Amino acid sequence: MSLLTPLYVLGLLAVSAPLIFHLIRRSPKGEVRFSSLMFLSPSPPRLTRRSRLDNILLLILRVVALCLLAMAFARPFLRTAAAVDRESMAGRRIAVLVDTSASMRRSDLWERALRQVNAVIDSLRPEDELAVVAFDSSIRSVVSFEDLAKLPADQRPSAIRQRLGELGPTWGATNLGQALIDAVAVVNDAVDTSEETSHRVRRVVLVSDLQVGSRLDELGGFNWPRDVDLEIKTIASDAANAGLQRLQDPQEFSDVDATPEMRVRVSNDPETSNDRFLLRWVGEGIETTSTNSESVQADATDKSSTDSALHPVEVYVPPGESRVVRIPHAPANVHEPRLSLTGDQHEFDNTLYIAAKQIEEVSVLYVGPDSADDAAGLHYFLASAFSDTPRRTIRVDGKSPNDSLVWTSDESPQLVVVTSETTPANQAKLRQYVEAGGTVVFVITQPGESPTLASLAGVKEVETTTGAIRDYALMTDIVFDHSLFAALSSPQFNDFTKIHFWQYRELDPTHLIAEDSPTDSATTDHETNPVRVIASFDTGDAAIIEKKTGEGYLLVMTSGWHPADSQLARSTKFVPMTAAMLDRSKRQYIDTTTYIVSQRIPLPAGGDENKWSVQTPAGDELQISEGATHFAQADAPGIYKFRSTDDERTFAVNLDPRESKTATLPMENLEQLRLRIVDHDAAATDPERRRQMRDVELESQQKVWQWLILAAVFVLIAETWLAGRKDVTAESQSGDPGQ
Amino acid sequence: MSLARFRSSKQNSRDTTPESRGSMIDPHTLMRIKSLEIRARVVMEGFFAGIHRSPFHGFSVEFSEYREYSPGDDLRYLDWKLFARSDRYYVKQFEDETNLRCTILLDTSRSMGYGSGDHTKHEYACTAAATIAYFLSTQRDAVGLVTFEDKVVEYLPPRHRPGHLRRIMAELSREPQGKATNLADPLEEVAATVRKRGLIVVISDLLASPELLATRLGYLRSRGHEVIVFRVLDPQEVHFEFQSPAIFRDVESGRELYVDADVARADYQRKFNEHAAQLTSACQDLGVDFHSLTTDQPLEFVLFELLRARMHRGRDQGRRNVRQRIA
Repeated sequence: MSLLTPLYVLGLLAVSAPLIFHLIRRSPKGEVRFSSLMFLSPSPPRLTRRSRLDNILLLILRVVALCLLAMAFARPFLRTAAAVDRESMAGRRIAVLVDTSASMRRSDLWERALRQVNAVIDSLRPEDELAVVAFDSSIRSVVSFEDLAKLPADQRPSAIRQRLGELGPTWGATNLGQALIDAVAVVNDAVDTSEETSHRVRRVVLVSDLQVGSRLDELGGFNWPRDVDLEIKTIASDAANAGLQRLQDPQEFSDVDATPEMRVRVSNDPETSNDRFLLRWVGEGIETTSTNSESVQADATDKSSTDSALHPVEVYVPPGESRVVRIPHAPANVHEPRLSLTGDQHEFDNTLYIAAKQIEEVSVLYVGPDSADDAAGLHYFLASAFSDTPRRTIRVDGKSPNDSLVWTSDESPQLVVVTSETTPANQAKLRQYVEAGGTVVFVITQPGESPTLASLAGVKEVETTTGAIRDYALMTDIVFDHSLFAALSSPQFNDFTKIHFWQYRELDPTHLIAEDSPTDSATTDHETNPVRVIASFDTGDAAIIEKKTGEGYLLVMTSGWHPADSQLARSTKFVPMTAAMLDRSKRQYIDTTTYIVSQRIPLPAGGDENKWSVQTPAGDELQISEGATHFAQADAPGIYKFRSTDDERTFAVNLDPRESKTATLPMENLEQLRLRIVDHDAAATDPERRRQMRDVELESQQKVWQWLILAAVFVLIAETWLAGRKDVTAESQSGDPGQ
Repeated sequence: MSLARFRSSKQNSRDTTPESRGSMIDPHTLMRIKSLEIRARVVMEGFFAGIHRSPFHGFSVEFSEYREYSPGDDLRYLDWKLFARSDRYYVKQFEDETNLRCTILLDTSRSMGYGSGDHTKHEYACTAAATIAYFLSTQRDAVGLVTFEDKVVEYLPPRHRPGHLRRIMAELSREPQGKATNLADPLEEVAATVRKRGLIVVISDLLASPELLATRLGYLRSRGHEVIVFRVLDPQEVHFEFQSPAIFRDVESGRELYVDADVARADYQRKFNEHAAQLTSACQDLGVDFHSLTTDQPLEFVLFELLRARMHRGRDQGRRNVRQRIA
């Protein structure tokens, strides 16, 4: 039996109090009323003439209660065998989590990190288990428990060091939260073969620079297990760092011509005295000249000069803040231009790669009798609805229904709109186009039989009748989760009651179902049925029907958007709807601004299908496997090239801007996440403190004081009951003679 | 009761054993009578039965003495028969024939509410006051009542009217509300209020400083009043016969004191007797009749003492007149 707070045992001295109170008997008979105390003087309290203890049992109870309380406050605990230090008994299971994010490229951080890991390896005992896990935006196992268990104990350190030697910092971002969760899984995953191993100390040793830019979001909802400790070995660098990030150009999606400037954000470290930086273009074809800052400033203001883009721009950013800077685009003759930041002490994040701007051409084919300048026709409104963006030009080609439709696979239209019957040859061509993955919008403009629609839908015949409308029809039952209406699903946009439909053609959606189809009714379930009504009229007839045909989609509209049929073309809903039709095909255009390292980059549209390769900045050629939709191996910043036999598209991959925030994360932020952080250094250096901590832990596990308090309460209840009973008997005895 | 018997009982007035009281009414029995008026009547009738033919009857309107004629005396009072017998001129002197104006000062402070037996000092004092009032009003004397605590509570001026006695009785029946005893201020107030000379009967436990009391009684005396003080005490206050140690609580101030009775008894009695002696001597110096009563003594004693005091007073006055004449 040991005591955590032995000084409280002095409370046992309080035992003397009931003893003294038992001996001193003041006012045993209560009070006497008297007319005046003017002739009386107070008598000193005296010990009873007997000086003996009367109510021994009461006295004992009181003394016991006081003893119990004093002992409870002294916090006793038992040093049982089971409670002996776990660390000294079983081996430990340690997962070392090494930060390999781009910020570890700073000065000597990586060497110091390796030294920390080596220190952990040196402290290994033969019974310990060790795993080394590297992480940036995801984790990679360097050495697993199983690997190490296969080796004899004396070879383990050298094996681990060899693997560590192959490891180096990457260009990835720091997803510390997910890495910690994964590391806990690694530690807990190991199979416990025996009772002994299940009691092992589990510990995650984190070796990281703990930069502010680390992502910790995942830890917010994570319940850190009670039996896993986290030891943090922080590697901090005093040198300040500034970051560079390209911002999206607000004009990029508007009709306005792209501005001659681009916007970048320069952010500065809070703990620095440096607040002046230089931004300059670097690349093949630019002479790097060293200029002092005064002349730079003078030159930078000279915007009118033709080669102003090549002059460095000076940026003033106060510590801890960020500034958005407009700088001119690199001249066209510069090959693979990079924007470089100078003025801070770390180089790793000072280069911003900019890919050359590429304009994608998209063509839309309109098959119908009306021309583009017929203001009453469908073509006119369709051509007006599609407008060019800085990154995409849209061309609407009109074809007469009787013209033969010819296009090569290279320049196939992204969308085909058919508004009239066409020749059987064209029908076959369109059918082939849809099945290959194209999108065809068929607008029924005339009632009656429609062989073109039947051919597109793959059914024998389709007949439509004029829809019965009294004044006008309204569009209802719109499936807003369909991509055609997804952009309009918000409450402020989803009001279609202002759009009146003057006439439509009645079409039973079930007629579009091929007879050999396994289902027989039109439903909205895409998996089991290819035909889906995505909008209806308030008369109950279908307005827009979608049918999946092969890889592509057929959209059937029973009413046109031209003024003769409806007000749709003149409503605000038309442009988003046409844009959605255009994007209905899976192919996407490439975005050249926002890729960061490790991001999955979608493959560009067009070109020979599935025959892309990627050229990395290092010059390697990576083949992309068939059927892949994304490129996921962009693991270093730089200019990448998608290549096919006849096409080449460049894109830039940059460092995650969060990686530039290299200030050290305050430990409080981690403590708030309820991690079980152990202060290992302090515990190891001070064995006395360590013993105390163990005592505290033992005591908090056993909680003997609770039982002592409980016992004291019971004793006090017994004491109260006994005293009450004695009072009652005393009263009845004193009352008896009077009666 | 004959005069001889009265005298013997007067001699044993401090002896309160039932035998010595003779046919007097035991206060325990008396106090069982609820009505104060009946109680007073019972006491007085018993008293009258005793002094039926006493020489004191009508003393105040009787012939007092002869005085040798001196020129200037009113010839109407010259006793011609005596002149015929003795050939000397004597003037007949009579007692003052005016009615007595008596004011009873009754202490109703909370200390009077103490009683170790079955009745309190207050009940005893009220009965005494009622008896005196009843007795005097049957003699056609004017009786007034002043009740006081730390100040005068009620003042009924001395009158002899139908219904006045009833008012006095009603006032005496009222329960005391008082807190502290402060004899000094009420006496001072009474001295200022009661201007006509008369008899003032003070009934109180006099548990206050003797010096202050003496000064205030002096005021009354200086106004020409005759003053009789009845000190009403509980037997426990006199003898202090508590046995065990206890917390003693002052009924007036609420102050509490731990007192071991066995130890404190001697000290108490010494202080009490000192206080009583100081009171007695102060009263003697001022010519105030001072009588101490305990609540177990028969109430007739009050009337005896009253009459005795009156008698002494008359005698003293007579002597004083003689002394003046000789001088």
